[in-house]
Amino acid sequence: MIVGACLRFVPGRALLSLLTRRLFHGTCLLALTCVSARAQEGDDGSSNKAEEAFASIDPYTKGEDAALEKLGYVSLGPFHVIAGQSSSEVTRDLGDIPMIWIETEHFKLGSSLGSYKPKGDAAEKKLLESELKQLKARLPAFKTTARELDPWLRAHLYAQRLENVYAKFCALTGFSDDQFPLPGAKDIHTRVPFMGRGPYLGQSDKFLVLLTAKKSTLGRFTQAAFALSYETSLRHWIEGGGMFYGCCAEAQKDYTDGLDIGLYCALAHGLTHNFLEGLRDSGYSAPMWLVEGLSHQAARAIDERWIVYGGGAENSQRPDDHYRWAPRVRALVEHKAYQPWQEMLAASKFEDIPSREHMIYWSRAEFLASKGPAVLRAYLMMVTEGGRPDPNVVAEEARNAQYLERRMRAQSEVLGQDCAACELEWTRFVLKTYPKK
Amino acid sequence: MPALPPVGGGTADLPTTPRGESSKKLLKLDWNYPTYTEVAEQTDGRSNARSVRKMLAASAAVKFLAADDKRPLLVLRECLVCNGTDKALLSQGVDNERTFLLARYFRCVKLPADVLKDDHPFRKLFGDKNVEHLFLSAYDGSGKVPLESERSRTELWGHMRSVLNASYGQDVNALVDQTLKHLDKLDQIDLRQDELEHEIDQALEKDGPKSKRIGKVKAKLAELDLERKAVMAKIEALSQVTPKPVVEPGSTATKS
Repeated sequence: MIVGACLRFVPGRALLSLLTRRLFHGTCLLALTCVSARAQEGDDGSSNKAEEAFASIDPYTKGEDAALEKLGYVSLGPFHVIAGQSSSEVTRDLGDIPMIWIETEHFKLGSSLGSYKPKGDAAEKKLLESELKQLKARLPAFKTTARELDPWLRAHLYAQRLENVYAKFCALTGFSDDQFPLPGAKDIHTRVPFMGRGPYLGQSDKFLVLLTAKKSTLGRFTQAAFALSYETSLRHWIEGGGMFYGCCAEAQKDYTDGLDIGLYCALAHGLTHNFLEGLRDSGYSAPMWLVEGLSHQAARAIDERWIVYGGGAENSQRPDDHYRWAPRVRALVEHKAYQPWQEMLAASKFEDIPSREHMIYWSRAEFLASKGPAVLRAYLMMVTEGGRPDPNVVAEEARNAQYLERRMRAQSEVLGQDCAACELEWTRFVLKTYPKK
Repeated sequence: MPALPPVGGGTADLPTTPRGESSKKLLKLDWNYPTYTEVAEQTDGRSNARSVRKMLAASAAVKFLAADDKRPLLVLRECLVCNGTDKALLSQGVDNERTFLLARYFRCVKLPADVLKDDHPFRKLFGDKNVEHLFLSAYDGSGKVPLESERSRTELWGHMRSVLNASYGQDVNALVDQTLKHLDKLDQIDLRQDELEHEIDQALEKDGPKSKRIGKVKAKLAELDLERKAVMAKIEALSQVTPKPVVEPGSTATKS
């Protein structure tokens, strides 16, 4: 059994599962004769009525080492995934469904995403064009246009996206691989400052990502791995090292109009959460406002329309332009309607964040990031210094007090300002930078 | 733009109302996805073990699926052709809410498509011919009711009620009827909450926190929150029913 005890987890926002109202037809006998048939296109543009057969050999790299190297891949499997289980064993336990596994420089990706037919969305079309060009530049086997993304092409795009999000995070925060220890390095526990247990932003194992077509696949994996059945999305710390993010396309489609770019936004948001919450193996000690704010920034950099987590996306009364946060934040600043900076530093529970404060956190993260990677890095180093106090020794209230003390020190020593001054500077940043409409 | 929630079920003569967020949390199937794998030592005695699997006896398989849960079982087998979603239980264009609410009294287990392979731990749960996609049973596997997907909602509900009534010793359907009424109330509360929260957002962005309207709206929101909690407590109470212990045939003792 795949087993992974958790130190702490932060579940992805529990998205509601909506029914797909298709009449089931067929018996097992019919299933055996139809298993290789192409499935009927589903609402989200993907083939979801039946299990789509994936090509057993990657048509783009042919599994050849030279091609893998050009893409920066380590392997197409099998490789270790979690708790002693290989990608082959995980696939077996998921029901031997079609799965593609790709190990890149920083990630291990499992994808059961089926084919996807773009729906003509302009932003998605533009994104795909640039991404396909990026792929082709690395490996000529790819084409620069695609009327449909087959499962392998989709997996390659997501592998590229993972590394792109990682690269952007490092550029933004000033962190780089060489700042973190190699696995098993002798000075892991003695080096000053402590930089975690491995080269993946302090994690000893690569970031694990699972993108599933169906809710049952994600639910099956998370129940086996973490004893928690999450069908929509989940972020979780992996015992022994590494951070997991899983997301289900079927569950996301009702919040993203079934667009693949929306799924990418959710992915970017979840990955950034994991980068920060696992940073230096500090056990989720990074401040919530900054984690949430930078995660929103990462998603919005792709497409600001898809606010999958927080930001009031669930409110059915939201206006059509609710995702245009800049003018909304400006209006809140003009009317001084925002959470005070010092109060924000103390926020510790995701559930306690009002929807509109997501916009404020995003804006303040943007403001902090505008000071440059050196400042952001120094700030993150200070707020994650010391990691998470042992919960068996230090009660929650005392832990939160320790976190607040670090954050206040970061204010004065890194930003050179107290909370009031910082807040004032942020309001000026907003009024100078954000449009009125 | 993210789509608004779809319109809920209902007859052609009645207006349909979208279900709110609170109701939707209840109107879903809460699946368990058990995975059983034994860890075997390498034959050369090395400490690196690999996971293997083998078919369990039916009784052992049922026991694993049920775990410590004494609720009757609802077991769905995924299929390579049908889908991996809940479609085997749900029908297009038909009110599925009763199915969801009845299912709350079951331990719902979803098994992968390869469960019919000879080495799958749970293979023995199913027969060799005309293998059903869905079955209901007591938690120990007794009283099994195999079901196929091509059936009316009424027939499905009839079987679910029959198993539930036998397991709980009471009319669970009556509890579902009461729950449905509470859901309608929850929807009204959610809708009103959305309107008020939107009103606050607009007031803050237009006039700031000193807007006279905000205080009144927040007070109304607090009232709604209390109302919601009261309704949720009633719904929770309706689900707090305990299955009867299973009596083994010919025995005066009961299983616990």
